[in-house]
Amino acid sequence: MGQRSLSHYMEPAAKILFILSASAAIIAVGLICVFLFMQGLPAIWNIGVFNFLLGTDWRPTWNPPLFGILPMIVGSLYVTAGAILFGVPIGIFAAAFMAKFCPAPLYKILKPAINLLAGIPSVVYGYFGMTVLVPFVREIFGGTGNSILTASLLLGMMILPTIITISESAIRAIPSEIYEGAIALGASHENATFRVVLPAAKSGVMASIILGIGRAVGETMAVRMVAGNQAVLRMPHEFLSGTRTLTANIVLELGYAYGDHRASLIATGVVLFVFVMLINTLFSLLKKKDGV
Amino acid sequence: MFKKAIKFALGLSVAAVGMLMVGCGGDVDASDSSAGTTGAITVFTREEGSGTRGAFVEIVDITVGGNDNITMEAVVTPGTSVMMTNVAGNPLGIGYASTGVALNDDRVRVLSVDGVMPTVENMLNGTYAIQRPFIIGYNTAEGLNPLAQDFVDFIFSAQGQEVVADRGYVPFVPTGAPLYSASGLTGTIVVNGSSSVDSLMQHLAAAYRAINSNVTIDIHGAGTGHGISAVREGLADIAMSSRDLRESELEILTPLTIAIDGIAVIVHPSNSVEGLTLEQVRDIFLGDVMRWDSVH
Repeated sequence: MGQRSLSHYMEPAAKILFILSASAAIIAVGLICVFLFMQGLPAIWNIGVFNFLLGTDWRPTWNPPLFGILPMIVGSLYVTAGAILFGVPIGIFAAAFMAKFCPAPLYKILKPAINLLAGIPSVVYGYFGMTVLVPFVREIFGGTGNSILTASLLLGMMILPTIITISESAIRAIPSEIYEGAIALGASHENATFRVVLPAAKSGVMASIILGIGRAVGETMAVRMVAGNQAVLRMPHEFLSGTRTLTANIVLELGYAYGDHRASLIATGVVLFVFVMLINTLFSLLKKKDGV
Repeated sequence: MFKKAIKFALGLSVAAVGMLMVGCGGDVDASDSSAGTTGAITVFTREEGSGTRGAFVEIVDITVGGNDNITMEAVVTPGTSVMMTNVAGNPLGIGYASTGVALNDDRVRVLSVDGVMPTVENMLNGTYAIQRPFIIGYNTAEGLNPLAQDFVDFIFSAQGQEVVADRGYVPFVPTGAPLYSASGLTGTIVVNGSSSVDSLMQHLAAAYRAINSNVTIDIHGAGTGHGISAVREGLADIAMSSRDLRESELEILTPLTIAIDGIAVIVHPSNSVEGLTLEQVRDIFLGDVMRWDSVH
């Protein structure tokens, strides 16, 4: 009887414990939201929505100061687009190779290597970028080396593990009947993989790309070490010039900033937050559509 | 088919590694000093709000209408160490850093300004133009606790000022500093602030701990502004600043000058330029002079 009553209490207690644990994440997100918007929105209001979002001059220590973050918004878009350009094709081909072509002995090396790539801290990527990629880009393409191109290459490298791992499991999740059916109809192994299995795994592959984009937009440490960080509005053909991303803008100056300058950096965080929310919404819409 | 794919992948990686090696090897070619350094100058600067940048802009007068006007095309390097690594890796780069750091790092070369090198001697007699105080500050209202006071006493002792001179800075109390003896205190001192002062503070702390092994000193080189806020909010005992304190800061903090530091103008070791005038330094950082050919 005693034991029974104990389990009688254990059950709801465990339930509450689990609910609390689950809500910890929600509470954290809620607190961050409240903090960001409470501190950031008044700043955006004071500066003026258009002056802030579409202003091309970032001179926070000037008198009077100028707080235009358009160069940073555009900078974030460039390096993210660049990362997709380099990371996505390589990532998808690597995933197809690992799922459908890779001999077992090579797989044993490749898989841990990719997991290792995912575990390297971003500051190490940054140091690698600064000492290897920057001189490389400067010698081959010219310019200062601290450029949109360099940051894109580095970010492309950093999103590879995300894209490869998720795409590979998406490809593996496709029922073998689909592949075998294609073979039975006379398709070669390559044809079956790239024209039948890969399209069937589309939603998983898209998910991997969106998560990769999320990583690229949010990456800070490595990017600020190689991108040059000039708060100058760049045109797409100026990919050998430096740029400053939203994340770099916050972390570069937050240590020193006070007053309006500090508020405008938190407002930069609001813009970044909205960016990431859009990406996540896109991700869940995609999941819903495909019923994954 | 497997073999073909593997061969292709291997071929790709060999090509990539080869290109990387060519890329790195190219560094040496660009540093042909006999021909003289030519080409576009890559300007490296510290971030807005950095104490080093503030002092550099003020002394060299890189301003327009009283506002910091370092060229927007300058590459912004977060922190002294990133500045050093960037200039060390770019044959056409120019940057600036604390002399104590720059003179002790042979990956870069220090330029003379108006024909004067930033040596301790030249800073003492005032001929080297770009110099500034290194300051520590504590909360005026709360004062220093006995342990932090003991560390400050050490900094101003003969031993402490010897560390200052050894690191290439100018001691603020050149002669007649009292001799320090161990206090036997225990505990933790938290120091936060300028990444330029950080390097000197690390050496001071090491020398202090050699005498007082039961004391822990936590040093964070998070930036001048950061250190001042930390002391204001009670998160640190001592703030480090690489510029004079502003009026609003003096209301809260009591400043003590621990050393004089020069700001060195630094270039890649292969650069053929030996020195610049203060005027040329100003023009380069304003973005008015953009090629090395123009400053020979």
